Amino acid sequence: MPFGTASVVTSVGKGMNAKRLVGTTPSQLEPKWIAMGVGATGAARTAAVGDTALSTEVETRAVGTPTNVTTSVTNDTYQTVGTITATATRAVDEAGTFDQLATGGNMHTSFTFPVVNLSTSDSIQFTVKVQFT
Amino acid sequence: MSALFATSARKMQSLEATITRADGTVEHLGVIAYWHRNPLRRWAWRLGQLLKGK
Repeated sequence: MPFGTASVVTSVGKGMNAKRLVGTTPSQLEPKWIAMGVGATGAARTAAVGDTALSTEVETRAVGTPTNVTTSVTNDTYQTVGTITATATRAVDEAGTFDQLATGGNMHTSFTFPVVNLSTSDSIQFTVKVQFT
Repeated sequence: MSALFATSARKMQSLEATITRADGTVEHLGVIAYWHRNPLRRWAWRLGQLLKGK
């Protein structure tokens, strides 16, 4: 599939939604960590439900600030906001949310989008929203 | 009740971005990736992006 703009909750992410409901203290961590990457265009990858990782992840993941916000019905939307600072010139074209800070973990959402160019020391704030109904 | 929530479907998903350049300049990129269950909403967002030259 050629590169394209897309937003998905991955298949793993759907399971994470359900797992977060189980237990007084759910064993499934929240998917608040935000990652960005630079490899979707080169890999001709469009975000898809089968995604488990970014094509080429760069920089340290942001520790997002998660909240429930209201889009249509009270608290129907999961939102996480985080900022990543570029340590080198980056052509960012993919992002995702994960359940851990370190590389790897479970990918909850996957996004591909037209290239956003960053220079060294530029920072980018991502706001991820997923509305349920 | 949990089962009802667990089977809830995604209605909308978006990714917004704001860049703060090293010199302090702030660039609001707005929504850079978007999906809505309603195909007309998706089409409208795509059209908006095209009109912005993206």
